[in-house]
Amino acid sequence: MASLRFELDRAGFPMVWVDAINAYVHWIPVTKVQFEYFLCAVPDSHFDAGWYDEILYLNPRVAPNEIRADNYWNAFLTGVMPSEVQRYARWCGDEYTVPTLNDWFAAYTALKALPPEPLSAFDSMGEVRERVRTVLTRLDSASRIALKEAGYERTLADQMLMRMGVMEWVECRGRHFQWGGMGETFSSFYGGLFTPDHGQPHVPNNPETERLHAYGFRLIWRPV
Amino acid sequence: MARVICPFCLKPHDFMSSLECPVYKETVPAAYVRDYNKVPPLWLVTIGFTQHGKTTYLAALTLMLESIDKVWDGVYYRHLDQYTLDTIRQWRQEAMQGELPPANPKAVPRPILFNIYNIPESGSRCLVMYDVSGEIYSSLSEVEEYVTSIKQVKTTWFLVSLPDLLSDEEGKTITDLFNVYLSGMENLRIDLRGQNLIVVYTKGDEAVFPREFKDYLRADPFRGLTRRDTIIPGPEDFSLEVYIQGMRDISNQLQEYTRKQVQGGAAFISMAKANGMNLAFCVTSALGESPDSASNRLRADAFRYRVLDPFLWAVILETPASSRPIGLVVDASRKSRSVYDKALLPVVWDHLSDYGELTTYYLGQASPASRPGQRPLDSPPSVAHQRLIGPILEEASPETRFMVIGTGPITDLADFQNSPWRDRVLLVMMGEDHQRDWPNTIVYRTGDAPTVLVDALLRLL
Repeated sequence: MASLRFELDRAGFPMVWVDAINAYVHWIPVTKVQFEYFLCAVPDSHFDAGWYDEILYLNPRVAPNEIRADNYWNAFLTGVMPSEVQRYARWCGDEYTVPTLNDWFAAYTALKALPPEPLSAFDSMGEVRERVRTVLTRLDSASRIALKEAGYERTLADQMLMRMGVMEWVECRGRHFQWGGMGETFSSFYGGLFTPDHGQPHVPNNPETERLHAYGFRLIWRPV
Repeated sequence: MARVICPFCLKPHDFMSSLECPVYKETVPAAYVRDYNKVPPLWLVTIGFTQHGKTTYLAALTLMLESIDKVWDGVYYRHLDQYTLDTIRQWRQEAMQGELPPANPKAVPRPILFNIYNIPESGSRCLVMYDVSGEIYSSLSEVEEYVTSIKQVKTTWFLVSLPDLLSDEEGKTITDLFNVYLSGMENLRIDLRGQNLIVVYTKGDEAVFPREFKDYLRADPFRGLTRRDTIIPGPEDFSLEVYIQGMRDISNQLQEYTRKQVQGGAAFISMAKANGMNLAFCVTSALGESPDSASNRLRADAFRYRVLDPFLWAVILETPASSRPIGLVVDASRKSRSVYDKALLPVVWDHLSDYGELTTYYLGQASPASRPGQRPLDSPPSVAHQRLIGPILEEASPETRFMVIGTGPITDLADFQNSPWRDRVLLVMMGEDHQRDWPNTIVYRTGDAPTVLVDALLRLL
């Protein structure tokens, strides 16, 4: 689809413009490779070697070339807490934020109505690193198989792994809880009946004290 | 500022803070540092047996270069330090007094630093010339200690006096000299592929050469350059292109002569070529005539024959080398303490910095821990880093070769298993927990010689 507009985030991963929320949205949930650029850029005692060991214990890492339909969720950064996500967003830039529930659902609804995008759309983005390109390509293939197994018709939202990806942190403004989760996981990763289609978030009990191995995130970017 | 190689210790330093070489405590000339990019060094080392005419040749060459503006407008020279000035003055005095310079004492050589500006078609170059004592070449074990300067050099003048070889009581041959040189190079772990070896037959007036070689010597248009009473061809009468073609022709003829007529010559040529070296031959007569045996005369007013040829060969063959980037990446995890052992990291850094522009990194930190010329820290950072290398590799130029020293598996190294980095990253593993499936991996144990690691990286270069 020629009308999609892409930009790269600070780590070199693509974001796509979504008219419905007037912002760029990460093409896929933030991956470990992506987050590692942050880890290597900012010496921070919070995100030290021990921190990442704990994250990898919850959801082991997979090399881009090894991403397959039976392990592709290992590519995503999960087990991360909302405050840590916010620190990552600050590193990405002033205008990057964790999506609100409304942002996420509006984007999902809009993208679900669109067909998947040929990956050749990224070919014009010459500056995409080889490793990033491999992650995108392998995830696209793997998730296609997962969607088929789940019996879903593949939409652009599915291609962007808003389903069959990870549970994604969203900020829930005006509610009695600040953090919730949207998305849908592949059953081999994390079984559950939750679906984002109703617009209501999954609400973890202890979002800031408990690492949840199925929880990852994507960011939105509203350039001024 | 680009990396500047110290002409004394042959290593890069941080010249922004001091011009003093921290190894030899000599002050590096400010002009050398300031103009490093505009007037790149032309590193030259002379190799030869004692009394085969090395120092005499250098003395004659500097005299010739001082007068070169007679041929080429706009070409001028400048000596960069007092030592060079004193040395040249001494040579001049010796020339005026008709005395040969004394044989170079066996010592760590100090270069003379001499800028020549506006050489036709070659621009400006800083000659960094080392005249290494002849004695050291007769003893294999001493070469490494004294000839560290060779490490930086891409072009070597291999000065041989055929008359002196013929009369040598020990029966030395040109192959003997080359063998000593070759062994020294191997000890220094220098890759000879692509290096230029310019064989300079000195004392060409004395040698029993075929007539065409003597004719070539006599036909030198520069022969009277240092004489006041001789007319030198001006720029309009002189074609550098024609001159260089003549050099090439005589080089081919001299090579054939060496192969067929010089004892050990065929073996010498084969060995040099087998090592991937570029060979060129020339013949000179620095004195123009044999010095009187009683007075050992080197005369300022002598005709000198083809003294500029070795210099022109060096300029032709040696384009300024782009420095080879090397990355040394060290573990900064909680278990990395052993990497910072004094017997390992400083030694590896010291050796590797001889072979290229060495930048050090911590695993898990994209920005360098130290720049070329800056020694690495002797302890890990206060924040323990995850063992990650991707952001370092992806920011590096494809020419970079990396040595990665770690105490456990590197989290993201497998990401590059099918990339060109597979052949460019040497992984050095310490401890028991080893990386699997990385092709260039060495296990290092306490007590192993760090030079083994350096050798392994050099094989990737």
